[in-house]
Amino acid sequence: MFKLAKAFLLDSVRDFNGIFWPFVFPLFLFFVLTSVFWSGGSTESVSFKVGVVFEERLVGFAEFLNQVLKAVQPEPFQLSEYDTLEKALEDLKKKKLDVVLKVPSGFSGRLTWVVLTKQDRNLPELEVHCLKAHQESEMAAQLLQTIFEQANLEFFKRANVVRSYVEVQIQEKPVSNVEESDFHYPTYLFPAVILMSWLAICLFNLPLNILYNREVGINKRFFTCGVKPFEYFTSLLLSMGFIMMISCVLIYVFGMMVYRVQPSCLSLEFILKLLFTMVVFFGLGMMITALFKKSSSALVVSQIMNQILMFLGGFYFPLLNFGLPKPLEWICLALPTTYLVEDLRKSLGQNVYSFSSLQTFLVPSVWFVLSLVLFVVNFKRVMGHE
Amino acid sequence: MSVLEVKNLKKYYGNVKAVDGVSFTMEQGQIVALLGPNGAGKTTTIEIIEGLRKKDEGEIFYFGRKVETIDEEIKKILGVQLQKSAFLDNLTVKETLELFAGLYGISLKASQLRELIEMFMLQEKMNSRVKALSGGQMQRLALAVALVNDPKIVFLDEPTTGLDPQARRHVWQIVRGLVEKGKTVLLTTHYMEEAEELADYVLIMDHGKIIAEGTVDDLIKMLNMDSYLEFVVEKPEVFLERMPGARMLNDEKITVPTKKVEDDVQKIFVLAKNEGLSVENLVVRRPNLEDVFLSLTGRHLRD
Repeated sequence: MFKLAKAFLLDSVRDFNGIFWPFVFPLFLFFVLTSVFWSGGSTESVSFKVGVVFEERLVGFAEFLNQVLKAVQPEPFQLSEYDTLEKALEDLKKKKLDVVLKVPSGFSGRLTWVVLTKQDRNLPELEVHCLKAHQESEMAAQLLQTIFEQANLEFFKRANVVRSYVEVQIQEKPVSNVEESDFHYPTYLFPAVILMSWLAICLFNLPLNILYNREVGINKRFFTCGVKPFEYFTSLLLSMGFIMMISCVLIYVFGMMVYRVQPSCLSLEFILKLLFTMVVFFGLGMMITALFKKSSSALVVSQIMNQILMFLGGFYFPLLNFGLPKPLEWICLALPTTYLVEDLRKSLGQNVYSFSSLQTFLVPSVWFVLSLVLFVVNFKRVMGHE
Repeated sequence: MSVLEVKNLKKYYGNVKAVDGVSFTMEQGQIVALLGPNGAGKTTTIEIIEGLRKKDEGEIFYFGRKVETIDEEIKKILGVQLQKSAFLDNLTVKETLELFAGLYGISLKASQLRELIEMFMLQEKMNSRVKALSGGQMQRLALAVALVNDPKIVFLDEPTTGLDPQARRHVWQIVRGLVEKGKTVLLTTHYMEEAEELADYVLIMDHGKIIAEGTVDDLIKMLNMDSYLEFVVEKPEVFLERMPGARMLNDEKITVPTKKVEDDVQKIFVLAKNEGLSVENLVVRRPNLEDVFLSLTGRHLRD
């Protein structure tokens, strides 16, 4: 059986298609998609010029504002102090500034009042001025506002929970082309690339090999030597499994070395989920083998299934978040790949949906069981040669 | 004790009787040819005996032992060359031979491998991939694979189909060599020259049945004809009507069985002269298996 598996493996990897699709194409796709949708982690920082007008010297609790303003320099803000609001607004109009922040007189007193009395009347206010319909200016104002809202939360905490001084935690929010968060596109993409490669092997190589070998009589030749159909089939599965492993290792190496994919992809949980995926995908290949007599028909169906399982399964984009038409959404939810890739992403902390564990396990399992039943029922015909 | 005995073998596909009560016996060192046109049931018969198809009825005995299913033990002593030779495209000739030896549980020594490769003149192609082989080379590889396990009985299903005359003669030489080594060969063919050249015993098959059997000489004697006349003439229908046993050999050639060559040749020329026709390419030849088949079925082997 192993000799036959080795022969199948050699036969496969010596073919251009056998090398390109399982080994080269996934890495190429990984590279292309990551290049297009990810900025390589180098968040290109932009500094906004802020003119600050203090109408009073900050004292007491209000000194936190100085800390906030200090912390946001030099990125994302470069601050310049202005004596009057008019001068600052003039520079804003000349686009020498992106935004103007005015700390009005009475700010310190009002803030102290709020903190001590815990009343939300007569709240201290900060004025932010920006240019209308000017993208950078509006963005800077928005960002400034977000920072102060965070600071507000700290006031609230201080006013209601603790009396002693609590250091204000300033939320640093760099402005870049891509908003920085825990989301890491290469890690998000990583399981999809492995699955894409495996899906191609299981949907194309497995059924087409079995059907082609039957058509030209290769399997028949093996059976004359005493090889049993089950041994023949197992040998094919072994060779496919080995190709899938090699492909997986290459994607791992590429992903981890080049794109710093999160090391949790090496966890036992992730690997077990990959094995489950492999089993389900084998099932899909077996289903196609069982349903079609000719390799030419199987090829067409494999092509269609491959596209549907990849794209509607959300390999590259979280389709279910795109407000799909209902029928399309149902199809997505019925596909095993939707759950398999999502479950793998969950192990990497990159999941985008919230399927239940039961749902995640059940849908692919139902596909596998159905495929297996179809295959077993048709095994004699599938492995036959008459 | 017979090497192989087949009794009343039957195989049906729906209403079609692919094999309909075939019986024969093979002795050691014998070459038996299963001769018949395409669709006669030769391949089905041989594949049932090889264990590739299941019989519906009948009995098979290998070395006197009745065999219900052709198990691994039996398969180890059989060498099989299928009608359609197909191997894994990207393995080399050497790897293919080693693979099949391995499937029989044999590890080929370098000398054995070389001998096999030389026997089939594949030395230059030893490291070539199967997909790079020509039709003839592929057929030779298929024969080499059939012998990789040093079988006692060799089944060759149309071993020379698609080969040029020179390659065909080479295969015949190899088959004779197998018998010299004590092997028993069952070959199917639709080339009567092949059966005449090689077979110790011929089974003529048509529509799933053996319609005649015996040595080549016995079968030809059955015709009770000394010779055959073959010629080309413009209006063959004249001769078909007036000469007993005359048949069209192909679109233009007529064949006439004869016991008295001189009388019948004269008769042909007289008839042609009376009709204002000219006779061309007249030859006198010995009867062959094609004539036997023609006389039995009214059809040619290649029909």
